[in-house]
Amino acid sequence: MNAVKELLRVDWAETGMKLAAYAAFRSRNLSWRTGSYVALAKGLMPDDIAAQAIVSVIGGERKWEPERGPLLPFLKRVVDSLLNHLALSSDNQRIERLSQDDWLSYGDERTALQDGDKDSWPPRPADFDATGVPESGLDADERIDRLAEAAKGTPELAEVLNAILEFNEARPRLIALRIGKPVNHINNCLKRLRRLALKISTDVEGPAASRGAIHL
Amino acid sequence: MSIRRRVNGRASIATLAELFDQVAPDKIDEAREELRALGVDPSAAAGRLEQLALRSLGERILGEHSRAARALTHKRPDVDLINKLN
Repeated sequence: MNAVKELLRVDWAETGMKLAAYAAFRSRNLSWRTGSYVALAKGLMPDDIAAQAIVSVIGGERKWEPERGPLLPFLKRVVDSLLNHLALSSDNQRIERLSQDDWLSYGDERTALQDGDKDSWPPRPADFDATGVPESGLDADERIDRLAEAAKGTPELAEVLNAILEFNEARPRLIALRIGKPVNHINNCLKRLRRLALKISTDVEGPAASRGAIHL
Repeated sequence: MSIRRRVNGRASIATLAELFDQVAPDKIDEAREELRALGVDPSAAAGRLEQLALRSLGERILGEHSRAARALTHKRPDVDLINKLN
């Protein structure tokens, strides 16, 4: 009953929103047959995954023990697990047989499936590589240029982006050392740069078609 | 501040992707922004998830009460009406 008492104290509107955002964030790192990060597989959206996680934890199917740690990180791990299962589900891996005419008349989703003939489709989550994702509206250089342009007016963002591009460094701690700033500052700048990148993607492709910040 | 040119755009994209993956949204404003970028109304999503959570909590509490009540009656056959009827 201890867990139930703790669950009754939770602000579920706030927790739900944070969890749905986390699900949206994580779903961008996985490949979906739909080619979209809004409609994943089995007709589910990221906030549906958050809902499933909440119900399974409250229902006791996934047992949360308050003495072993706070709720939100536990819920996030449940979301990770649900998303990974969904990405590997047969629904997400279903490949339809299409005639040549179909290839010509359908959009990105079909093109992605066609590409899948060469490699496994979808790539396993652990194998995800942003460089391997088919390019959408903009090419890599153009995306970087747009991000650089957007960051130019904010010196702290431009400084961090410069360091990343110049040293090709993927560890915030080392970027912090390079430019002599605290790691927290780097992480904050990264969040802001990611939001900028997300906005660029959304502006170019629209929210539903957005390939997300990860693809810039 | 000007942005210096990098060698390879795709390598830079991969590095940025790796960095961005390390900064999941954890504050409420960031969460709101993330959902908006997805085309989801953050308040509507929060409301829906809150209702769902409260309904699930109600069901769990009812379930635990009825399990506790059943366990109690099984320990006291004199008040177990089902046993008496049988």
